[in-house]
Amino acid sequence: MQTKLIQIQHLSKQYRVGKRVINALQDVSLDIYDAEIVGLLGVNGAGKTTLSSIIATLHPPTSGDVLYRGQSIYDNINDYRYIIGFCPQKANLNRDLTIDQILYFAGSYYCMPKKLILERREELIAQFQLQEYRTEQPDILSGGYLHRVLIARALMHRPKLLILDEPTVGLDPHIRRNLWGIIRGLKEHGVSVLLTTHYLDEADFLSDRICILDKGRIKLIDTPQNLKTAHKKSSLEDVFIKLMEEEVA
Amino acid sequence: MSTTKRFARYWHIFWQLFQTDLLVFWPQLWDDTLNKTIWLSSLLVLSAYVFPLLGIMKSFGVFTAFALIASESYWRMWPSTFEFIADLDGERSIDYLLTLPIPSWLIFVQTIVLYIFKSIIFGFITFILTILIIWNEIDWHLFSWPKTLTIFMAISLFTSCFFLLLASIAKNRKNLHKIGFRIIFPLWFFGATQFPWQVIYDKVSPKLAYILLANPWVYAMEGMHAATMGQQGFLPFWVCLGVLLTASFLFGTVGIARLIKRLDAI
Repeated sequence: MQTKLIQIQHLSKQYRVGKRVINALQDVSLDIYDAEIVGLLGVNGAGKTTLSSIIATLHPPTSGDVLYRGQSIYDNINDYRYIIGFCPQKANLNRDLTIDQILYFAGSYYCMPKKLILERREELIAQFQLQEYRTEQPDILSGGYLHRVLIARALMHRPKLLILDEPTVGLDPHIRRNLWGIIRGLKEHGVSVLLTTHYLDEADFLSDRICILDKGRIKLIDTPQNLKTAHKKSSLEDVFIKLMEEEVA
Repeated sequence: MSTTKRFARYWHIFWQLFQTDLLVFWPQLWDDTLNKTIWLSSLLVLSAYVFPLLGIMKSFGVFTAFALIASESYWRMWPSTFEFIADLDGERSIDYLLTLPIPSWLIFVQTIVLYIFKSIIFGFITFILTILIIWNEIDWHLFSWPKTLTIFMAISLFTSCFFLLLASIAKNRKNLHKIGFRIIFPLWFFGATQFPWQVIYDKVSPKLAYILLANPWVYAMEGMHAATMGQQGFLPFWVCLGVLLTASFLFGTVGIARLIKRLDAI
């Protein structure tokens, strides 16, 4: 039986834009199991990035809780931060450092011993095929390589949960496929992944379970296969379109 | 985890963040030093040697020189604040830092410490250059090394905290530009940089002089001048130091709190 790694309980998030209150998330509850890939889907503004940012501890929720192994992450948030790796949408790398330096410091920020940092860096440089660019700064890298560096940076300290916010947006199909292979490989190494994406084929291929968010609420959670069977559709894209059409109707 | 172990971890991360910034800072040092040398030499030669030929008091050169040393951190913070705001509007590298296993407020404290460190480095360079150019003009009997170093550190702390507060107030780069023209420049020009506060009190208007006391930069300048040119004719050194440290604490605390709120960080 799978063990729960993260439990998201009745999470809500409100933003204020001037006098207007925006309910970005409303009563969201979701469990993430060990070595599970959960795909987070939804149209723009559905609350995907808000949810992943809260789990990544970038923002606090307005109400609700996030538990790690049954204990609230807010009891000791800095201990929890050791088990997560976060890849945001934007390639927010330090542009003045080389790839080697970025990865080195990514390890040192998590108090890894120097020997382990160097070993881990070599491992990731090889895994993400970054050998050619390791002494370069991020500015010369293409979008695909930037995303590889972002993921490698997030993996330096061997997190148990990797949060990927649209990791393949704007990438060429073959580079996307390459990243898919890497993400699948993480699961085999026992890493859980929360994958936010707009690409339904990507969610279908990678996810153990799909969570569809709509207007800040969870519309449904299930395996891709169950969703396709239940809605009598051959692809996840058709399921998604059907659900959105139902919503409009 | 014990409190001691947790504190040791925070200190380690804090130090690593500092190391990262230093790695970026050192290669830029030569360029920045060259720019500073050209700018400062021009100003000092004019103030100390050319202006007196036009009838301006000879001590004006020394007065300006120490005002420039003290203003070094003030003017260098300006582009740093732009960079900070640009990051918030752009790639948001701050988001990565805010997910590291260290309290968010320590990230901003590290920023303040880094700015102070840079100010000290550039202040030292500026100081050496100043001494070389106007050595004969300085009255070394009135000059106090301990007071100069103390007030210089306090000014660096103050400017770091002040600009952190500005970064928390400015909505974007355009807004920061406006703040520059409407707040930063008037504060500096009316901050006893080019005249002693006493001159305004004696020769212009005591009321205006009292109003100027609301400007914290007055204390930075008066403190620096009291430390380098003697106490007479300037506001009391220890009052200046006290006001600067109090203002730093207030601006730093409010700035960090506002930034955490603005970024919606934990």
